[in-house]
Amino acid sequence: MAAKWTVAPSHEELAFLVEAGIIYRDAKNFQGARDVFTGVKELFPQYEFPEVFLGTVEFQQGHFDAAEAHYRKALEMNPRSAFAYAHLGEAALFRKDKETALKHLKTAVKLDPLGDFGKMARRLMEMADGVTFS
Amino acid sequence: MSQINNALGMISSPNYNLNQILQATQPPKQPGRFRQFLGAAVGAVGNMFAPGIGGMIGSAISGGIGGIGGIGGGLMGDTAGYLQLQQQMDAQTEAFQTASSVMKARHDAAMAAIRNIS
Repeated sequence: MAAKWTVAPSHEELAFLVEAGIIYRDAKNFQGARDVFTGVKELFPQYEFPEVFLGTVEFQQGHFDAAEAHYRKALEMNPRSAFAYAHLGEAALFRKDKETALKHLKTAVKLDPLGDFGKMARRLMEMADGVTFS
Repeated sequence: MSQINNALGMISSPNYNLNQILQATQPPKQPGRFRQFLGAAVGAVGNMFAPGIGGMIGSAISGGIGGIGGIGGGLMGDTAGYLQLQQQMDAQTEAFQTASSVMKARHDAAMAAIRNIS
């Protein structure tokens, strides 16, 4: 049975929670980060980005397949999420699948040509240019 | 070769002592690590202004002036070695800058995701 929330956090509080999750993740407190992002996902089921952040927690531990599963779930929620495509490309790049990575990164740039998600994808494409996998 | 000749000269001369022979047969004094690094750094800066010159300046500082005159020998070897070191440093700097820009873009994207909450 799904829990019924009686709390309604503001968007400022949501932003604060996400930032806390990022700090946990970057401090390698992966369980803490996972708990925060799962909470955010429960509170705001309409957004795909908590799912992407959950993927980044897996990515940072080197669990690229698990990360990709989260990114794909995010894309099911929002098929035009440049944020999810950029991260999906990053995961593919780290799995040494350059061709798939470039495909996802190009999609991210196409969806967000001037924004920060497109910029992240472009930087990853630049990095991919200098990488040759044996 | 000149060191060997010096040593042989001393042996054949009646006016020598053991210390003189030891001194003459010692390999040239190696430059300190600080000088090696200083040479590489100055070489890199020199190459910004005149490609190729930096390597020579770097060699001169880190290997000593003898390297240029050929007295200490190995001008070409030193220069090639420092050019190789410099290329490695350049490649590392470039890799670091790329990784750094990816990390920054990743952070900016996360912040943008937070900002986009409406």
